[in-house]
Amino acid sequence: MISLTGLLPVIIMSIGIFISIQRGINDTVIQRNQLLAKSIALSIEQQIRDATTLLISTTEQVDAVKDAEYKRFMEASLVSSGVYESFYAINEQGRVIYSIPQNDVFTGFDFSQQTVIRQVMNRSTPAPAYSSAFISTQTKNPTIVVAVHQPYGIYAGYLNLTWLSRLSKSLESEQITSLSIVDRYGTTIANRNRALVEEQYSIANTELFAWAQKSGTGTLHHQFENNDVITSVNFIPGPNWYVFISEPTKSAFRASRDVLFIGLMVAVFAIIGAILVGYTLGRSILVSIQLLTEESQQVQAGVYRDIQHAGNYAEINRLIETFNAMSDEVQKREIQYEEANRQLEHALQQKEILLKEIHHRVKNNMQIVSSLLSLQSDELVCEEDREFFENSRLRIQSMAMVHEKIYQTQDLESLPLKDYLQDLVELIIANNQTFMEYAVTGDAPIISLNQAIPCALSVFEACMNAIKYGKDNDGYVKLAIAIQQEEQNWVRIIVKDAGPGFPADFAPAKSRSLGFTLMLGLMDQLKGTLRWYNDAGAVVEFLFQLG
Amino acid sequence: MKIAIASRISLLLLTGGILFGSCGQKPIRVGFIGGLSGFNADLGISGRNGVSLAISAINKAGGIHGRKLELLVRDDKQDPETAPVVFQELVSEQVVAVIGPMTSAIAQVLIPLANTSRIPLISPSASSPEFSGIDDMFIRLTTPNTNEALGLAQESFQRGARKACVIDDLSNQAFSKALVRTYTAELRRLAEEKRKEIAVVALPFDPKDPQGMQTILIGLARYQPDIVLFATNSLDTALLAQGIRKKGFTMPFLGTGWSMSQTLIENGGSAVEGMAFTVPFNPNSEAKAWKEFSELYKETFGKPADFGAHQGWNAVQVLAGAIAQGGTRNIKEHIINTQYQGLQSSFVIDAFGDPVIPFQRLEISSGKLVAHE
Repeated sequence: MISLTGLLPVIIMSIGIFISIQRGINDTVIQRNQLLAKSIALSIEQQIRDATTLLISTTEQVDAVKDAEYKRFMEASLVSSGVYESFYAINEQGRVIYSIPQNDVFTGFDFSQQTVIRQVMNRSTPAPAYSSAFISTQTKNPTIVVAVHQPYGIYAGYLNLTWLSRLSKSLESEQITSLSIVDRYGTTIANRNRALVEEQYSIANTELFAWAQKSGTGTLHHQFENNDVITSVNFIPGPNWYVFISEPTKSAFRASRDVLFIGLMVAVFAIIGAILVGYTLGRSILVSIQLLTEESQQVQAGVYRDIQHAGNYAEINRLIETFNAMSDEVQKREIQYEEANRQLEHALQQKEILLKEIHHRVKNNMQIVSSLLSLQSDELVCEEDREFFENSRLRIQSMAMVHEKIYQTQDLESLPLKDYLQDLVELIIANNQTFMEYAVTGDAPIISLNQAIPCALSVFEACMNAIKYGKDNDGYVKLAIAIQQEEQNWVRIIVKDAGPGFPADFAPAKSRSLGFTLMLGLMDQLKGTLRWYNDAGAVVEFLFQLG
Repeated sequence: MKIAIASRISLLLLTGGILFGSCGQKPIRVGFIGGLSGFNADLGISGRNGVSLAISAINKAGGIHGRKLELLVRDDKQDPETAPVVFQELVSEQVVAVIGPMTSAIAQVLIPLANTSRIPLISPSASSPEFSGIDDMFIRLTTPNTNEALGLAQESFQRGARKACVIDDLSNQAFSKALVRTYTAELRRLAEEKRKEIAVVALPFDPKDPQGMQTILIGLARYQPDIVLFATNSLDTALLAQGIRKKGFTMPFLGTGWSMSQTLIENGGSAVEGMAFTVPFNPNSEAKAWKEFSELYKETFGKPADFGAHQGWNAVQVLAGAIAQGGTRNIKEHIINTQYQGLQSSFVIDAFGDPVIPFQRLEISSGKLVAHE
């Protein structure tokens, strides 16, 4: 493409030169034909004029009737010389006095009706008149009659035009042009094809003749018998003929076509050469680019190799060197990143282990605190105090469970709420000698460590209330915990028993219930809400947004 | 009988050109055969010129149903051996019809070929009665010369001729033989009717014989006819007439349509003054179409339109009318039994392809052909 782009101005310039050359050649051909037509026209005009002059000068002072001795002289100068085919001396009435060489055959014949004789009969000067061309019955050649009116008679010479045919035949040998001579009516009087002359072939109805009559001289590009032809014309005054030099356009402009052909061939070879050179050069660039592309893909895939390729261009080689350096650098950095990653992962693992250990230790400590409370509660006599201790111990247990669940998880930051509540209820059951059944249903959201402990303590308190106050008539506790995860990460936990429900005048503030006080406080901490109501038992409902 | 006048044909050609005009259509090829070189060329050349003008006019008006006519011209050289060759050339060029030949001698050779190839052969001027009454591919635009011979015989008899002489051209026997026979028979019939004595002599004339004129002059000197009928071409008629007058003969001359041309008048001079003709043509017709044609012809070819040109033009009109009506097939069927408006008068072509045309009596007077009642 680059080569072609470079060639474009050269091609445009070449086309311009070719067009100029072609025009120059075409103009030369046309000028040559016009010159040829003009030369032939002048030559014919001169020959006719010479023949006419000879006739006029020979007959100038001849009295056809009285000077019969001149007959031999005129025969010698006009007919035997080969200028005229025959000669007629005619009187003022148009009758033949004598003729040469037919002797007496035509003597006495009336020629007064012949157009050319009539023309000169009415003239007082020896201005010549020319007949239309016709085929002589004697020679079978195109002939014209030249007639003059002299003081002592009318003289008519039959001018044989065989030399016109010879003229057109001489051009035939050139094999480039065709010469035609037509009379004022378009009738052919000379052509290399003699049949056209004999048949008096007429071009009167053609575009060419109409143009020739109008222009007189010049060159016409036209169609003739379905051929593309250029014809140069020149008018011959006197006999009023036209000389046509015709040539098929194909052969006339062959030289310019040859030049064009050669030019085109050179252009085609130049373009092909340019394409080949461009292709060879471009191919070496493309190979380098292809190599670079492939190696770039390898770098993307993590394979680092040095490109071992020596191109033809320093720029390409520099690009390859730069690529190799870049590849090495990327490989070095990747190794560094991998090492840093490994260190970070190690640190993270250490941190996780540490965190798990902390949670484990917190849980163990809480277990110890719980055990201590349990041991101390055994020394208490008052049942109510023991209950306080027991509840506190369970509260600590429930918090320890949170830490236990936390270090059992992967991320050490959150725990599955549903599993936890399940374990919590089982812990409560295990520490209360009450007949009860329970069910934890609904969604299974993940809750963070920060929210897990307030949530756990809240649910614990609700469960403890249910165990304490939610027994049915048979002393049986039926506990149902439902978890609903709602839009915008809100979670609703519903703790329901099948007991007698809240008293009608239940008011947490007045009841001095620690459980409700804790629940209210914990929900406040979670920026949530607490509801309680009766629905075939007491229902406590927590609503808060997961953080 | 179908009626088709020239104006209708022209209208048909024009509307056809508008309705079906198409530049890309191939031209319809029409052939022409005539004697264009040699001694009898003037009739052939006039015929060709008339045909050429007619075709040019049709093409300028848009052609026939948008298709142009292409004229292919061949010279039969008045040679019975050349004519079949050029006819076959035209057949191989796929012409739809051939206009020609101009003489009976050539028509005699070409009619069998036309019948074989089923190409209509439309002769503008071949007038031998041998071609009449035959249902074949030959169609002509002039009546059999027997009609002409009858008129000439009546003319001779009216002028009081009792020793008639016919100069019989040996190169066109198909024409002159029938003419001489009919002329002689009619003269004898008229003489018998009026109980008069009459003698008719035919002097053979060979146009290629340099001594042909002398032979005729010797024959005339011996026979001393009181009227001479020239069954020869125009130039030969002119020169023979000049030769006869030069010898002091003063008998009236009669001519035929074959010789009736400008060449005869120009070369015959005062010798052909008073020569009478009985022909289906009048060069001084006042018909508008003829006047326009004459002007165009003179302007184009530089000489007055004559019988051959007139017949050539009419032949093309007849052919074009048939093509316009029925296409390039069955041309003959669309030509026959039809009335046409020619350049000078209307005429009918009968079922056998022969025309029925009114005859004119013409006479050369002061270098011009003048019609006489």
